[in-house]
Amino acid sequence: MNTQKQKVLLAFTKEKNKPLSTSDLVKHVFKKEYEECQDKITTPTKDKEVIKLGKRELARLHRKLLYHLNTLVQDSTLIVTNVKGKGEKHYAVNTQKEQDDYKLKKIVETITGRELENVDLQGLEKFISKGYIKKPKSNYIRKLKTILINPKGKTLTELFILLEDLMVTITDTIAIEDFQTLISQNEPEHLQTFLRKLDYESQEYNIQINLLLEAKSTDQARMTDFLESLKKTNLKAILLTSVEEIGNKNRLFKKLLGITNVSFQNKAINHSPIILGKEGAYSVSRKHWDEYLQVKNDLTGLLYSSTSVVVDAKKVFERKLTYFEFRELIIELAKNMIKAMTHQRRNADTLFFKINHLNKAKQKEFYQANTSYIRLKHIESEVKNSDDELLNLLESTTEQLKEFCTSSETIFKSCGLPTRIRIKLGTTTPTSTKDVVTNEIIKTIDSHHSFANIKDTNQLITIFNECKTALIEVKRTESVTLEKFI
Amino acid sequence: MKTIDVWKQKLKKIKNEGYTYVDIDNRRAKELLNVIITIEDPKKQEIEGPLDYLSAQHKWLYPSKTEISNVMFKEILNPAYDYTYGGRIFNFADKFNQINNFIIPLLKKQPLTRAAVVSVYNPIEDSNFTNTNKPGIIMLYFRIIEEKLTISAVIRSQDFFFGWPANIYQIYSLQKYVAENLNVEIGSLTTLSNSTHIFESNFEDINQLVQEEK
Repeated sequence: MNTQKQKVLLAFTKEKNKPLSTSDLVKHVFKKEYEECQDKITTPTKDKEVIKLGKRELARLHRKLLYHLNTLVQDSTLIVTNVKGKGEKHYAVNTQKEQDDYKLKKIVETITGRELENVDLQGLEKFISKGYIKKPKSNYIRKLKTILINPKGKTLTELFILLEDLMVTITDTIAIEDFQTLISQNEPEHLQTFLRKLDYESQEYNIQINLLLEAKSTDQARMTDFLESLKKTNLKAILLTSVEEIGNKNRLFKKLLGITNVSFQNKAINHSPIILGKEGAYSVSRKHWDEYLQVKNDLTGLLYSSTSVVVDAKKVFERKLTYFEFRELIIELAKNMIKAMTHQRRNADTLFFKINHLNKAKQKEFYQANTSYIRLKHIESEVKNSDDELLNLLESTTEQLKEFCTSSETIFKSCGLPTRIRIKLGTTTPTSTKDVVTNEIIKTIDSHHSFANIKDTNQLITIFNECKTALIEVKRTESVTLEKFI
Repeated sequence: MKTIDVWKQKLKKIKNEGYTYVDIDNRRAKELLNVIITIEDPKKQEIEGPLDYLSAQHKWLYPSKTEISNVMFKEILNPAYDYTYGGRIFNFADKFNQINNFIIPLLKKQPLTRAAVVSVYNPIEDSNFTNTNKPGIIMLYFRIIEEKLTISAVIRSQDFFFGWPANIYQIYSLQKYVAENLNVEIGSLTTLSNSTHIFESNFEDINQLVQEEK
């Protein structure tokens, strides 16, 4: 289905099919262009030419959208509910029509609530009422959190179409691996067009995009130019590198360190790529990553995470929740997440039809590394302000959660449901090497490690090699912080 | 005797008479070999007794009845599972529907046949050293006796506390499906479990369950 038609239909999901006028839909479908028109129409200079231009452009947007609206009415996807004012039509989705188109079917289901199972968090009422848990959106089990995409063998256009298709199914982040190959293989202007479109679409769907790349065998000037151009976007790049490489490509890294949207991952320590999502960092184990590498030619990517729930650690510990209650909260959340995963599993054929279809030959492998997260918001500051007891609590809870997942897996397996259940405690902020306490806690609860041999002293960030020789030294600024090293 | 009472009785027997061993995952367990249980007149409510008990416990999360019975019928392998009984039964090796294309027509044609066998175990896939997720139920046998459809299942390895309640529900669901298609009544349901075991980590839960009997 055409993207603009899809956006029209998505507009109706926000208020459960409340009728919308052509103007409402223009605002939704052409958000940026609409704002630009409004800026011109309401220009503080009151320049008549500018106002006229704004009105003319707005009329063009109306005409453009009316074309799509008419075709949607003609094929009975939309119905005209009434005509108001100077003849402006109001529309609603025709929920009675049997939909053949998969995406449209999903949109209509969202509007009508059809097939939606009870996904309310259960057994957690006392924690929800105190605001300890951020209640997930009701459709969270119908979508996946974060996936990695393998761009191999795809042109930029094919890749963009794929990403655009997947955005409907994802709520946090899509990461594209091996992006250096796309930089090498495509003309800079084509890449820029791709980035612009990707940036726009990802903002429309409120999704984070990570571009994962390595510095090897790529024209350094080309890579620098490309990464520089990210400054204008909301896209994030993660450079998978090593201390040695930083030492060998000193000049390149000095430049790259200054680019705001670029983070650095030490691949010598973290073997598999870390994804920096809206809700925090995502990772997969070395074992799962190695398994993925063996079959990646047959896969469109890898599912990093399907669900997550955020717990406000500040509220939890400020209000003196006992350690017993804290553990109870985590285990109850884990039970709810298993239920959510069960629903996703049972309905994977329809919910994630596109992804399953793309990974046809190796569907099982796509889901193999899936991890759900219980994210503790503000946990770093809580740890900093407390004694060892809290760290011990987090360690023992992590252990308890692991045992719970293992025993649940055993139960499911004994019932003829051999599946993987992985739930981890995590933070809502990406890892940083800011201080020891943070590192300790992140190591404890998120299995992340800091970038090796790096120090932040006297306004300077220094990276050392194993012999403690300084390889690179850059001035700490607003954009050059230790947060960049994951 | 009610199904739940049969379950409790056998749990007690394994706990008291089973021999102790440590499995490949370093879990201590008690085991009896080749335990045969026959439920003479299986009724849905009766069959669900042990399942309902496990589902009502707060300590763990037991899979829902829908999911338990779904895997018995789902023909296509769901990517989230290493295998599904349904895949093996209704689409064996991606080639053969053992129920609709064999068992039902066979029993319709020859109600007295002794050949109504379904193989769940696939040696090509399962008989290798690296595959650690092999199906528990490995064979199903249907036989019509006195115009009632009986079913017998061979279960290679069974966690008797968590697994048996789900397995009998799955076997019963399949028995019901075939019986409805043959238009006959449901007869007895038998399980033969080769390795019938309980894990030490569940001893306390088993004690509690068995004590509730008193």
